[in-house]
Amino acid sequence: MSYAIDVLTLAAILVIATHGYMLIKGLGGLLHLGHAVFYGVGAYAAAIVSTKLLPHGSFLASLAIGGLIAAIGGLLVAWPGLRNRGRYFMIVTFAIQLIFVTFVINLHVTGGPDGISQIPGISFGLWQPDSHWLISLGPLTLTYPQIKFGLMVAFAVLSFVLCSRLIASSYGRLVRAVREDELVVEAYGREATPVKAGIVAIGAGVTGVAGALFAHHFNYVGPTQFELDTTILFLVMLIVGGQYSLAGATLGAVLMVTLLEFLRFFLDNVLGVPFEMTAHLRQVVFAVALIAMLAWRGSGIVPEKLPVYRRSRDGDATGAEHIAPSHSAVTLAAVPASRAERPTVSEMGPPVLTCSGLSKRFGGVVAVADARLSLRRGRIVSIIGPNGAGKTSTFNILSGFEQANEGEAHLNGVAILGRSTAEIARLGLARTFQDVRAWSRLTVIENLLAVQPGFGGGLAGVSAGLSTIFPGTRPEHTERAWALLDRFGLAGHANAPANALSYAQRKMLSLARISCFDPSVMLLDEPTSGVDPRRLDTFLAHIRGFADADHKAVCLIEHNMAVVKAVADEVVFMNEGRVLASGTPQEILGDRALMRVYLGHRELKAA
Amino acid sequence: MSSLLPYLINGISLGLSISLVALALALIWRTVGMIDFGLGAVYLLAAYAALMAKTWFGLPYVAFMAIGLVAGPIAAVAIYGGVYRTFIRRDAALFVLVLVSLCVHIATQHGLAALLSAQKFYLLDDIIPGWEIGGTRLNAVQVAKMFLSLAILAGLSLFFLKTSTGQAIMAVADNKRLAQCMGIDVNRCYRIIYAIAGFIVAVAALPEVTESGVDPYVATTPLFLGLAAIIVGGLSAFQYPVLGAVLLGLCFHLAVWAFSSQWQDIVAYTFVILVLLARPQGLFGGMRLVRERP
Repeated sequence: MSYAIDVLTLAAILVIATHGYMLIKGLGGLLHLGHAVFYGVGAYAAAIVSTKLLPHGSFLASLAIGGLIAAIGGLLVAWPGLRNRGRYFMIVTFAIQLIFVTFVINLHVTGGPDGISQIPGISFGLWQPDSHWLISLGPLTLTYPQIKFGLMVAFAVLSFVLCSRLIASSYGRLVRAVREDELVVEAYGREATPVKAGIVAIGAGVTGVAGALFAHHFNYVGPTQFELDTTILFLVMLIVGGQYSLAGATLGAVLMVTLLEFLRFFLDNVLGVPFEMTAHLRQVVFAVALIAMLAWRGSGIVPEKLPVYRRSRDGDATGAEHIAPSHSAVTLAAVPASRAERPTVSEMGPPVLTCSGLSKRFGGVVAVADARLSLRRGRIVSIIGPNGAGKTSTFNILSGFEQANEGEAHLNGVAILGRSTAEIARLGLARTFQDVRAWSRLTVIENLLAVQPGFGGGLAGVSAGLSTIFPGTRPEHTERAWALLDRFGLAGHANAPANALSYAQRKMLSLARISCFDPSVMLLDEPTSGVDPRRLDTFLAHIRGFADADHKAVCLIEHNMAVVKAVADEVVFMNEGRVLASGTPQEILGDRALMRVYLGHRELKAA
Repeated sequence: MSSLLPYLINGISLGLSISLVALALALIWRTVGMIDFGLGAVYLLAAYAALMAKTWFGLPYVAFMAIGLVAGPIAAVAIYGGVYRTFIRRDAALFVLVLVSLCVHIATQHGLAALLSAQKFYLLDDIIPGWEIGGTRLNAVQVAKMFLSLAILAGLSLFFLKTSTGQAIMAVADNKRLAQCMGIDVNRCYRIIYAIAGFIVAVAALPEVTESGVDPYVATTPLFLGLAAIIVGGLSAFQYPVLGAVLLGLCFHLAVWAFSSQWQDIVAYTFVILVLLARPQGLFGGMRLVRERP
């Protein structure tokens, strides 16, 4: 009986550590191979402070210190791996995993190869029970191990509640967006690195608390407890249970501890395997189980649960009956104005975005030689030109994806060249992508909610994440997202993952998303490419609406001359990285010399 | 302070023996696009094959070394065909492949420990002959390791530059689908890659275990040092991991020269961490995979 309680206590602790892993790997998508280090740092920190520094009875303080040190350790580990958007994270965490044990064995403070023993058990202030402690509550007698077990389960439940709130919060959503496509997160005004560092710190902190609990449960920590095998154990728990689901992580940990105990029993008592072999055979079973699980079902037993948003009418939350059918694209907020009503340049305000002399060379290849643009509110400028003319490169420079070699650009009077993508986005310039780049495993409405002006980038994002007890999305944000989904005809798919949409619907989603971000300058990269002609009018109405109803400065790259004629107020013709001409659509499209450069002879005749 | 020369010689010797595993890791990384921790399993299987040949059949040294050398490529190709191929064909994500290969290593290591016990066995009962060179004693195995590393490096570059199979492998590494369309048998290319990597690992393993004995944990340190050499050196050319390995080996022995042998691991690993912090792409070149995985 006491053995079973011991095992279950350990299971509860491992559940918490697996929650931490789920946050880093599942939610954050970071390829993390050194989880036992965070667990070990927490355990060692708690062991050291509670045997050397803190007075007896400071169990909670020791837990907090364990979590904190592990979180700091997580940040230190994360920094070199996160700064470069590569796979370095995996290499770094794996290297740290292998180095950790060497350090622990060689350092004095960690007790060298002997580890640290005589760590006090659970104690609160003056209540310092030893392992023979008993309490009688009427007919019920509770022993110290039972109390300890109850406490560990309580901690596991607390961890579950806090982690699910974090996952459901707007920070959790942002972490998932970073997992799906971090460049797009930056294009919508949030630095990705602090978001990732934040989730590593939180995940490591949770794991560190689990490690501290382990130290106080087991009363001993030593180097062999935190080797690569332990990381593999956590990985098996996470991957088998379901890395994208907190419930899956919990289930996986419980399942694997059960399997471990079953194997122990089966190998010892049924097969009669010698004692020294069983530990090795268990590891073999785990490794093979992980390979089998990856081959059979990579996402684990429990799949990711996407949040379901329901719209409220007049403030009261009601059911799904309000979700409009998908073809209700009629609720356009913006109706295109006829060309005659549009103001001319002289009637308009000063340019919102100006740039001149932009150039960009990749080695010897000149992508952009001399690009200039001037965008005003309420006007649509269309860039046309053959492939390789430098159109998308110009967008990339303006949105901070590429650094220009020369030139200058001002957004509302602020020089933007040399600033980061996220900074430029926060100043009011946003772009769409030719290949849409929706966050695939966020739902359609989440794709909008994730770009809402909530907490800003940088440290504010992290602090918002740390306050996990605060719930996520504000109701007015959700309502605004619903209104936009109505406007763009996507309300019927609000809770579908973005990768379930058709291509045209994803193109529409990218328009809804940039509209939700509400920038003053919109750069649309081929917003209608691949859209069938029947739907083209809807797209054009929306693009026209950005300028006419929302008073945005709009610039689009477009290859379809019919689209250019229909929406553009001004056409800029680029070739070989230079702006060759600009003027009204009639002037440019009517210029046979220019059109010959673009289309060639035969196509020109056909047009 | 004692003379520096013996430490330099020992450092280069260690570095060249690290370089073989680093080279095998780099070869698979650059062509298949995965970090193959399963090479640790290959290392073990080659060593244990030699050990079995010695203890069960009582073969002479040269014969059981040859069996070990053959066992390396066979094990590597078997692991590819039996395990990796399923995942590679599905275009599995890098993390999945890394996990799978790590599991192969762990399963082999603990499987051997369970079946043959975790104790250390020795392949040679005699003392290995050696010579006094530059103030330090190098034994025959250490000298052999240095020559083998250089020979393998030269052979590998010749293979990729001069043979059509080598060119085909480079084509597969660059663009698998296109190579497939050009009539290159991708599966065969992968088998060759794993066979070469398995052979290199066996060449690394056998002298090492001749010197220090066989147990289920002998592969972990060389595997990690190989990875560390890649981290230090970078991957964009085959000589960079070798340079990284030599630097790392020097670091280990210069740490002994400057501090004491107790600090050896700490100094060398701190060096690896510092490189990770300052130049994660390696000191000499980039870490770019030829074929990127999602």
